[in-house]
Amino acid sequence: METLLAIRAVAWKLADQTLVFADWDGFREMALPGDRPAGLLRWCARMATSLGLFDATWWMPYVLGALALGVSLHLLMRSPTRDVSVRRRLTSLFAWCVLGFLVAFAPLAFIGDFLWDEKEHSAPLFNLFGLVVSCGLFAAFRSWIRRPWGLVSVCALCAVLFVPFGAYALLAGLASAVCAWRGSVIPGACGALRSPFRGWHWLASAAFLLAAFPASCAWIYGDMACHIAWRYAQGFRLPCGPVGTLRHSFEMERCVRARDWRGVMALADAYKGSGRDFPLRMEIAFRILAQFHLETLPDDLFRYPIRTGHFSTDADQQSMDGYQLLFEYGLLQPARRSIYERVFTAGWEPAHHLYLGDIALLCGERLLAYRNYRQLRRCPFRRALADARLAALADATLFPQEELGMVAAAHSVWLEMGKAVDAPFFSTGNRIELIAYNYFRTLRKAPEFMARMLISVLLLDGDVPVLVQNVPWLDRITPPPKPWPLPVQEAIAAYASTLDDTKQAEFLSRIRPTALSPQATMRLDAFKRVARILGDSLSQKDKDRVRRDFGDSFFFYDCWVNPSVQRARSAQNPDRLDAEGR
Amino acid sequence: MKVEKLKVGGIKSVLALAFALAAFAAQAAIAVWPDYVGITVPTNIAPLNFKIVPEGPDAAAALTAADGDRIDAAVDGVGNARWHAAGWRRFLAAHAGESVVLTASRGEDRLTGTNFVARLGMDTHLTYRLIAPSYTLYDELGIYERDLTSFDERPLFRNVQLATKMCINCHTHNRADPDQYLFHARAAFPGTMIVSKKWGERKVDLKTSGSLGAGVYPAWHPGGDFIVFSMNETRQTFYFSNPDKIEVVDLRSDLMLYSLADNTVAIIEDDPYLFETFPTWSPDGKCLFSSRARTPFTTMPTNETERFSQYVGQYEKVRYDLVVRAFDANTRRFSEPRIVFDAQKQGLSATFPRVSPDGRWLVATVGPYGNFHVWHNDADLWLFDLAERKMRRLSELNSPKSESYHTFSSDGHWMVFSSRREDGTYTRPYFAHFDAEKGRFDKPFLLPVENPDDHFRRMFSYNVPEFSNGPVKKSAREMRKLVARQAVPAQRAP
Repeated sequence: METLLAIRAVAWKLADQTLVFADWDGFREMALPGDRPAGLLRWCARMATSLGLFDATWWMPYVLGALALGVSLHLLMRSPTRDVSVRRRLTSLFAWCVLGFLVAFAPLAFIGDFLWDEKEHSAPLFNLFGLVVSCGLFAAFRSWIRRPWGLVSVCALCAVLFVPFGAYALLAGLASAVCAWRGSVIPGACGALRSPFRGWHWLASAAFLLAAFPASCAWIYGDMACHIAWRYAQGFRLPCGPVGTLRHSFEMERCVRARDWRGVMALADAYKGSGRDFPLRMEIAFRILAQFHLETLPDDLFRYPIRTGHFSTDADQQSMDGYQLLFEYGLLQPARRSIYERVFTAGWEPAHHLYLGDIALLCGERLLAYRNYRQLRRCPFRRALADARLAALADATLFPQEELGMVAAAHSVWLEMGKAVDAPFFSTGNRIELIAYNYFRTLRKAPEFMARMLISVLLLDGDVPVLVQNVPWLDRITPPPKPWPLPVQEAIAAYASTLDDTKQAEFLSRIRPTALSPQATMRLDAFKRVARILGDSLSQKDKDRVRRDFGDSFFFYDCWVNPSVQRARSAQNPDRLDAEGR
Repeated sequence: MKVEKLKVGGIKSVLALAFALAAFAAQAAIAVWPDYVGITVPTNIAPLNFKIVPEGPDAAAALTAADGDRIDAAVDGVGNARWHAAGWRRFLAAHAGESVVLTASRGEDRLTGTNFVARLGMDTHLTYRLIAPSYTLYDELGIYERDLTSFDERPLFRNVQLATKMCINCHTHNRADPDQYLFHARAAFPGTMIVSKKWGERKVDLKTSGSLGAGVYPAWHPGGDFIVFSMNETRQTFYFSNPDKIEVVDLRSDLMLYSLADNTVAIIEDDPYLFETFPTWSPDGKCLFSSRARTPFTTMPTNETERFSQYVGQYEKVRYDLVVRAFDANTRRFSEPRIVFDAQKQGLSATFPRVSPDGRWLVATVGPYGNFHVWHNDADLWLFDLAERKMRRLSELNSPKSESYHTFSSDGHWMVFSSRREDGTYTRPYFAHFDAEKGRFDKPFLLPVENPDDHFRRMFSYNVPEFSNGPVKKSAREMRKLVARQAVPAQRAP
């Protein structure tokens, strides 16, 4: 059932990822070029994938798989042959086994034309379409080839059909020609079926096998189906682990794309129900993103087990791409770069045109936005979205404020701060804290939601001294008489505790009394007592105890979670273990 | 996600956004896109099809000569105007050297402009690389040849024929000769493919011991016996918010002379404190022009990371002058370089020098700093009068966006150059007629395509456009065989 339920999530993801143009030019570009045979199959497979039929009904793949299977078998059964035993052979135990494979795994092929790593698992739906086409052509050719000029016409047809159907047309032609030539059963199976879908030797050996033993078509097509199934099995072997995690991550992606931030929060919090002790990196990254958009940073920052040690703009490669995070934070130029790099590693997706268009729209590059929205408009099921964006280009009052308003505001802030910096920003990654540290050391000019974000950056990187420099402006986030967010109180309290009495008093005197609650200080004292008692070694029992009591505090994070802090301390004391016994 | 209904006239009027800008600029209710009004056209150019904007039905377009001869374009329901190919060719041939009036209309709105048909044609083919605006990675790319007298385009070589992660670049013809050209392959099947009428075809590994690397920017000697290459160590960095987006820098660059006769390489310049790049020959082959800059390194860095770090800190101070060296083909020796344009003194940086076939004019790309000017919005084309030692910015060609890579036609009456004036990201080739007597260019026009919408559908840049006066005779399959060869190492000249 897990596998079945994952099909739906996978189908959605693949539908979202597949770029195919539903207009005549798109069809012409993909389906007709003679230097890329089987273009028609490829276009059909991509269209079927992008239609997202399987979003509503998980049983649709099975229905379509059964149809494809039925059509294929019907065509094969109808092949003109005087050898009645062929039909009997097809009812043999082996044929039923092959049928069993096809029934079980052919529907999986209808999940889509690509798996997430399309370079490794290429185009199973395309191959399944080819399988059906090949069966049909074989059935037709076998009847024509015996007529006068039959061989010539079949050869001519193969040449013509090679463009749209590629090797599948040639297979059918070869098989029918050999059948007509040999005219009788040749015993033995050919052992050259090790590399299906490519190579002339496979075609030739498959054709001989078809001619030798008509029921062996089940071998050939069964072999194809087995390879399809094997590749799908490989595809489900994902770095993230069980299929449930896959579905969960795809659902979270969907919420992010729909900008359902509360949904993202709920999904991020649901990791415990999946049996995992810790959330995935992408769950952490998206939860923080959701808090950013809900303007609740950094209130409950450490109630979630953040282990990344920094304000992440990267998510797990197998799920969401970093460009999504960068875009939603208003970092548009880095997002654009990230998109183009994703395009070059994995190909264009409709979402890329949408995001590139939005980036251009927000950067005032209207013609560039127009270009990308036009491309998006050509994709099935995206026309309405593209039209809305194009309307926004023509009429500023139609700007999608709900979707892009906060991104635009964030972008303006980065732009304003970036004007003070002339040098190129050379990034080895997409670490926001590098930006924050190098260029934005003050919160004075930032709007509230950006100030909240920058404070969170500092907290996650454990840079308390910089946070302390901005103490005078923390009241912008929580004006008096409200206390500051708890993680900030904890960080300030931790900093104050490192000062001697005189400096501490002076430091605290600059802070309004209502900003810090006594609980923060009391908790810090309790944490220090525990830390003193436990020393540098932690048993599993102690680890669990500390995490249970203080895991949601800045103290715990800064002492035992933040990897950069850990590395610094380990460098000073190599024997010291962290809270996880590492 | 809610979608508001469009307020005005549906999607077709919305799509007219960008074109409305053109209409405003033209001070008319309608405009044509691409802007084919007020230009000089060669007699052999493909039909200049355009779109009448704002889009809509009941539009018409016609060309009328002074003697009343007229051709009408077929205009479809959305305003795409297409000239009949045979009628277009006849009309241009009949009115060479004359002014013709272009009229576009929709209902009461009318646009009229005067174009000029040149007396002669232009080189018939254009070679370019189609590449997506790349950041650090690339996937599919290829070198293509376009017949400028029609809309035919064919690939000369695409990397997918051998390996997708293969880069192919720097295709260059010798004086627009379709039988003499070269290009490089990198990463997979590395080497330089050289096709020469005199020396045959070969694949060469230009990296020799002690050299900075394999050849990069090429310059064919007019005689066809030598090729000068720059050798460049190039890196890329990214702006955080600067609209230029990307900065490409050379950490090192030198020049080498490759001899086709004996397959040898001689280093022309390898001063580690100088950047030398973008070589080009004078038409008589007696002079070599190039761009040269002093490195920003205070102390010579010991490794690439250090070089990059120092450069990034001072990237705006790196400015290239134009220099020239005399060359003796018999001895293969160069003179000391002499500054032609002291760009550094003027706070400018000059790259990509190209000399006109008559030897009098030089066009260069000039910006405030750096060398990879295709990513600089403020990069412009400048014209240098080598005889009278004057220079000026080519205001008749430049735009607020980047103008860069340019090539003269074989007769010097035309120039093609790269421009990102449309959207600041996708490079398109523009052509302009050149009056060599006056040193002036006419208004440039965009490469014609059969359907103007194709310019928006093509998500690739036209990179390094080069004229040729005939088609390359090799097919893509033959080119593949050449690229697949093992590269023959060049030898260091004694």
